[in-house]
Amino acid sequence: MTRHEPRTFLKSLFQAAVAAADPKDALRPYLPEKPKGRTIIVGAGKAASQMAAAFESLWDGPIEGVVVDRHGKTTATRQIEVIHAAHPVPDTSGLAASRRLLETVTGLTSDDLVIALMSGGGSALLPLPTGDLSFEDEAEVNRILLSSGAPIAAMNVLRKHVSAIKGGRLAKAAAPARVVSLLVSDVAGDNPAIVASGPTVPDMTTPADALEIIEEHHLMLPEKVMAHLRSSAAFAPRPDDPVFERNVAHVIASAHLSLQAASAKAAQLGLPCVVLSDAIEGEAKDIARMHAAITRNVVRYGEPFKGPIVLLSGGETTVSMRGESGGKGGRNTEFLLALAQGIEGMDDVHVLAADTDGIDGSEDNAGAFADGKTMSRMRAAGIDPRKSLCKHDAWTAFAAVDDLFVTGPTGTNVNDFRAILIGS
Amino acid sequence: MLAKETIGDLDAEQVLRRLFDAALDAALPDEKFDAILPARPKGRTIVLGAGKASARMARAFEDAWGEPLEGLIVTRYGHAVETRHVKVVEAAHPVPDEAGLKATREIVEMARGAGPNDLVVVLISGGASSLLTMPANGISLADKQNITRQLLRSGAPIGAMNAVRKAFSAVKGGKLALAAAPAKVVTYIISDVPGDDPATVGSGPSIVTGADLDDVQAILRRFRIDIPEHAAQSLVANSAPEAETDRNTVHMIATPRMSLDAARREAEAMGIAAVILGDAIEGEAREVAVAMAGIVRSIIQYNTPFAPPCVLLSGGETTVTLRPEAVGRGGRNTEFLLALYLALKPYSQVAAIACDTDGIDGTEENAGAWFDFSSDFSGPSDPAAYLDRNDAYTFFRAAKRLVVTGPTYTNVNDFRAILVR
Repeated sequence: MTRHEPRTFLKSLFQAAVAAADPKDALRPYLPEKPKGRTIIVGAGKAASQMAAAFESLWDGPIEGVVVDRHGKTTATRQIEVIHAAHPVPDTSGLAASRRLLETVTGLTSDDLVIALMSGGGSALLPLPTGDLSFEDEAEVNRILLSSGAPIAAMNVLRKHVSAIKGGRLAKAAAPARVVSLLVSDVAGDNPAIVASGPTVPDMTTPADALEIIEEHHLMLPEKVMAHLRSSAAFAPRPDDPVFERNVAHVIASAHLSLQAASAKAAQLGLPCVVLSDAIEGEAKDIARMHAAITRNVVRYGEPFKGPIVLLSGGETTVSMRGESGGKGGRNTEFLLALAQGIEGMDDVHVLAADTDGIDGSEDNAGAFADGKTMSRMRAAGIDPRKSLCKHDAWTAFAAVDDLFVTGPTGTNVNDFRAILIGS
Repeated sequence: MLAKETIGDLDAEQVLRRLFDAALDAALPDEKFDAILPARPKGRTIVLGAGKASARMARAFEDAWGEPLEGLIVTRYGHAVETRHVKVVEAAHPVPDEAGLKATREIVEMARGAGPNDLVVVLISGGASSLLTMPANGISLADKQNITRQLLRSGAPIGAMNAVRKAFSAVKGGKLALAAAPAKVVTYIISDVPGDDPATVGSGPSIVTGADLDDVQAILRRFRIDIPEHAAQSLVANSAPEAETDRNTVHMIATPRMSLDAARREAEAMGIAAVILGDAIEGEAREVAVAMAGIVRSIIQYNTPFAPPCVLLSGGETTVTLRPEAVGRGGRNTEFLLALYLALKPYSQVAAIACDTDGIDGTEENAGAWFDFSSDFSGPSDPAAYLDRNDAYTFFRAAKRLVVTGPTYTNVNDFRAILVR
């Protein structure tokens, strides 16, 4: 086994994960054949403008269309228009955006091709109530869902049944044109119908499923919404509808695919690697404690894996702010600061945790490095790591020991990337 | 290993109960002493001990040793069992009370009374640290409390805090063994601490680690702990040259790891591959559940990090932060299990059990609970609402999925098993 410089090694795994999610490289294998008619691009999500720019650079032929991205800085495009809407709480600009997407695919022929570029966050960017519901009704459903703790798959079942664009309705509007959906997934299991609540990808869920989720999660929805869900207006198109016959959907990038790429990179560098999960959620510091416990188990007992080994995990943790804060940092540095306590004194453990979009929370770093000596280095630098964690001030603690990991924006996003190198 | 469909035919409740029972058997002191008894002394055999499992340990030792035997152990209120020769005293935990202080003085006196031909058997389990409380010579209880408060505020790591606590104690950190010298001391331990370090369980009253006076003084300076002059003098006076303790031995008779190993052997005997994720998993119970659910989903969707069928075993001690709307019926194991249930509800491949090895999870009569998605489940239809109220006990009681063992009078913390078919 060759000896690796731990941080260089971990960095190369991160780069492999990010490269696998690069929109241009990821789109290339899934480009469809050119149609006889027009090529229309629609899209929504936090990666919409990046995907649109990448698609433009790959496609040689006339294209037109519009994608909706978050307010703020987005990637420049030449032919495809980029419009903006609010995320994660929808606003009326999203309403206009949804109507634009539907108009863009209306009146097409069977010779035309629609490319749908969907990514995480698309659901919030595309509000458009159906039936008798108002924008406020749909927004209220979303507010209740976000505070319910329900998994994203359950949320999206509900969203698609109160929407005039989700759950395959955008694809239905595009008929008889063929629709090719190319997706960057941020959902566990990479189900195409769940990414952005599947505007172009219908699934088999029904209003009855939505009602069951409401009961299961004890959601108190407005009576108007309940009445709608009990009416025929709530039914979304079914996947076996003949108009979808020629359509396809591909997940071009996801946490799963990126972790596999990182895993392959580790193997290439001569170290075994195991993916714990591509979808670990939960409070960052508790998730860190669990990663630390598994790490200790590997170090002490060679269980459940024998070292040397790299443990990889992805997903999106959360940080619940307690009391007054004002601290700097994001969920990855918070994760690492809590993890550092659990691996203190372990000489042969090195960790990188970073957001694959290149920005972890409030500052300019993607994440940070931690190891068995992080705690003592911080104390020597006059930082009390436990207090820093309580104040959610992990960035300051890692900055004080110069262990931040800075990449700049990466141009893609498949959530968090965590790699724990045990032994070397 | 069996094929997937064969596992599917096994009754999940039976599989899970057999795993927990195996873990529990391994955690009990009963019949664990026979193979590791010391040679009989010329003089007396004196049993001293403290901890939540110490009464049951004393009875198991009596069963193995026979007579003659004398001694005193202190356990938590409600944890006494009947013994023949060893006196059992109950005291308060985790905040020491007068009964604990008095019992500690008696235990230290009995140790000091041991002669060179006597054998002192020390039985230690979790909780001993608060049950055995006695300030070192020249230190008052108020001094100790004042120093502890300053330590907690200082941000000092737990290792440094314990070193200081031991230095100001007349019983912790090997002081009990020093008091018993020149008698030979044999220590038996049931561990509830991560890493199973004998010196850490119950603050190691009979484990002489040779803590350096200089180290303790350095910690006090570094974390700016202000101690009165008489305490500083006492610290020096109490760090007298250590007695000869080379003949002493230590045996771990039960640990979280041993229980998890026993459960793994039981799983393998049933033809199911089992892995131990960790014996010291800590964190907020519901968050630990969500994280484990992530691993379970990965197993189901991608066969990584393990291929089904398999059992994920883990131990440790999670915590529960009560929510504002808490009704608080249920402990950390049922809370963990309900959060896991919610996170994995669509997956019929999954069944799980979570129990406290002491037999009481929280405040009710149950050790924990279990569920199996593939079986008929007639629980309440709104599990999330029960989790919101920290009311997992009521949820699993309504579903008839409680595990009830009664108090086991031993403790190697939590036991969790997740079966993925």
